[in-house]
Amino acid sequence: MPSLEILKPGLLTSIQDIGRQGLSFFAIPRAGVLDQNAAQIALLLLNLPMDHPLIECTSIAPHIQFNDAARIAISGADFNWKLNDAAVHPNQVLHVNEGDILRGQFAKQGLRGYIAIDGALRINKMYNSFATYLPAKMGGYQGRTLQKGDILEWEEQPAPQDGIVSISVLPGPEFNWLSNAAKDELREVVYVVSADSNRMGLRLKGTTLTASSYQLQNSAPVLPGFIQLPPSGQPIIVLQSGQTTGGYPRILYLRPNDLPMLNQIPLGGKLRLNLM
Amino acid sequence: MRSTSLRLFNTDLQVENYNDDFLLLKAKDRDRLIQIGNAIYQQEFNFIDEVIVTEVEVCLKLNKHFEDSSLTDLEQIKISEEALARTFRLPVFFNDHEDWEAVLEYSNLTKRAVIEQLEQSDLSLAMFGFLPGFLYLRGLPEQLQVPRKTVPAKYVKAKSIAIGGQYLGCYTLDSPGGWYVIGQMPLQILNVEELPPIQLKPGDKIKLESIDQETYDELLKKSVTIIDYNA
Repeated sequence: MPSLEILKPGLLTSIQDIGRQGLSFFAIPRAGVLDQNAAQIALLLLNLPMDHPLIECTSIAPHIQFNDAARIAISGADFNWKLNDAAVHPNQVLHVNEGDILRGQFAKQGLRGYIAIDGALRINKMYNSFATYLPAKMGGYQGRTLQKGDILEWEEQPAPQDGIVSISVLPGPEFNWLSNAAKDELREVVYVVSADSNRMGLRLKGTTLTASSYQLQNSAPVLPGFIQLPPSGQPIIVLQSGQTTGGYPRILYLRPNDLPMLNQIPLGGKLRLNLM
Repeated sequence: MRSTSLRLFNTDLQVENYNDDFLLLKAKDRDRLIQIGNAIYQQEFNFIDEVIVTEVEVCLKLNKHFEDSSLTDLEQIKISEEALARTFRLPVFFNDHEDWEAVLEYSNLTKRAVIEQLEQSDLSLAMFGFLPGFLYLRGLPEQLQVPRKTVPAKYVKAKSIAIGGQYLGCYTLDSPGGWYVIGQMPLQILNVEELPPIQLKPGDKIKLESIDQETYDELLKKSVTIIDYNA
């Protein structure tokens, strides 16, 4: 499993996330990142969800050795970061290699900075959050700040195979109209984004899916992310400028959070529908 | 998907919950379903981001504020009966669009008889959808329910009136379309500078009125709204 090691801890370096909500009733504070805007920049740079954990640095930055290659993003205060010997600026994605060392100094222009790693950190949630709350030794890395010698591991995000993007989908209202063969084929088919796609709908080209019918009796509601199956058997994914009702069966849908990744696939790009 | 039932206003509703992402509400009584959908939209529940009302389903797009107990909040909704009785007259210039040929052939009627049947029909707004301002009107006589075109026309002019299956449609914007165009309406239906952008509500009754080209041109020139026309 890929990991990093803290060579020097810095002044107050801890794992944080968006914080734990709704427990003030029990006098448990929210904790979490102190500069949400900066933290979100790092997460957005890596296309990570807003509740993903990251490392918060304060005033004096840590020195971190990467034992494995990783995609990371740094944001917030400028700590005069250096990757090995090269100066690196905040608010960018860095591709670090095995053995690389990221080191910062005193914070200038601001106090707090963030390091996000593209992978699921191997730490436990407490009350549905990764945020470290020091007084109760709760959350994050053993409930404390990161110290020299600490090893932080993460699970790598599966890289797209041969440039095929995997898109998570869920059964839609007419999922059962699909033939059994089509339900099986779904997991295997590699679709190509057709040049006919536009802001209303993304048209897929691939193996034809068969269904018991391709026409609803009445037009029914449609939301962005719904996947329709017209008589051609080639699915159409309704996008943000799509119609609000439609007459084709809604076989699958994908969640709004997955639309950004989908919408970045170029025309002619490949994707697989991964049925959850 | 989890399915439960809910009783609102003496109406049995089937509620399908898709992973707390969205709900589909269904009812046997279509008029009631539309009323309930309208009322849910007006209530502005904090756990609902979007309401889409159709004849067969009401779709509620949920957000993170939704929890199972939110369903009982739906019982707060009030249905105002007086708002439902409105009738709007909709003038139509039945021009000589080439699509008439298919309509006459399917119905086996003269153009004059088709127009008479349309004027006598009790139409009502079944739903919004497709594009902003598009109206799905139901109540079309069976004889006029021409199945949709197999290959949709690439361009249908804004304000076209068209027949497609069980619906009579009003195209408020230029768009592609798979229905048979039989006329043009001169009135303004959509106003994107106001909220609501459309003054009609699903369930409203519509009466078509045949007008001649001169009246059509005049109403069009004056940009008369459907509300002013019926005032």
